[in-house]
Amino acid sequence: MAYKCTRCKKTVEVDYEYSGIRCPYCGHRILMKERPTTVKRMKAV
Amino acid sequence: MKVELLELKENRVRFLLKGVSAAFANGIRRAALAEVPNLAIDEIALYDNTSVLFDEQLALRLGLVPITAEDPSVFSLPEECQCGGAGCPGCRLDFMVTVEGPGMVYSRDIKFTDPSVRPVVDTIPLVVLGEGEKVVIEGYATLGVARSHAKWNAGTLCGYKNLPKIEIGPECNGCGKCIAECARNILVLEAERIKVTDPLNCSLCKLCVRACETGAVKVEPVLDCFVLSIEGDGSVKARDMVWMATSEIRKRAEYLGNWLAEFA
Amino acid sequence: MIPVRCFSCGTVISGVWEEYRERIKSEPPGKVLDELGVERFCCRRMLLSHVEIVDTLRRYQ
Repeated sequence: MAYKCTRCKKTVEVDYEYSGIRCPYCGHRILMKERPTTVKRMKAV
Repeated sequence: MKVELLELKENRVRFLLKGVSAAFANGIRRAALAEVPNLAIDEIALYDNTSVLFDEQLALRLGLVPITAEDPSVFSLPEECQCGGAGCPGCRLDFMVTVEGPGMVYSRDIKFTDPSVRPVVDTIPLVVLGEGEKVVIEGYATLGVARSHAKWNAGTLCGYKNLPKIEIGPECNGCGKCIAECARNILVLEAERIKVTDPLNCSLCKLCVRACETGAVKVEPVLDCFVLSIEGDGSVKARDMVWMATSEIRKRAEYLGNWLAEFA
Repeated sequence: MIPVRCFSCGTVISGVWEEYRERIKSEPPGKVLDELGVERFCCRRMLLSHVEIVDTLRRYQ
């Protein structure tokens, strides 16, 4: 699953072995989950 | 029963209904509010949405956009359609929204495959897009009634009131206190006497009755006469809306009659 | 974003929003609402009391 760093905007792979979540490029600790590429169906209510 | 037309516009109709009960007038009001079938976007498929709004918010905004067809009678409600609710061109109207930022996505960007179907208002802002943001949405609109969801609300403002009857007795001394009190400004002083300019506009608040010291002003509702005001959002013409509402009442009354006949 | 319809009566009011927003810079809001045909107070409060925060929010995308 791809994440995106909110500071450097780079796509990040999360290393679950490493204790704690951190961007490997800039060290920022806030990551965002990217939108999946699947089509999302919903009722317009 | 007697009907008298007071005002007829594209979106609004006002008429007098004489010699009926309050239940009947209320029946028309309720049917126009909740039982008139019209078009609204029902289900969407989001291919891409990088805008500020969440997918669900965008879906709600799309659903609320009123949609009109040149001839809505060619479409049928999904539950009454010959396809049995599975989805066919008779009950589903496909559309597509593809906009790339920067700029605003308007209701006119909803492109239906059927050229006779379009949003009523072109300038509804749906979502604002920044540089590089994008929405790609596909979906369909269906007929529906407001009983199931307010987005199918064709009759937005429907109401009725008793016909007001205002009488000025011979005790009137022309003091003008009722004129100052009237919120609708329908009373004028003419040759030392109070005159009513527009009795239909009266809200039956009876403030003038309270203000009058001589007891000359009398305001009474005419119990079997109603002023009905039906206003729509533009997806169905007001004239057709009253017609469809009354047909719905007739249909139900017939159903009830047939059902009761089984026991007789 | 301005709500598409009036919360109370369901009339579509967002269609006049952009014109309203432009015109209140130089004219009194009450007069603009009258001219745009926004009649009832339920619909008028939708436009009058709306605060557009979508542009502020977008910076934090």
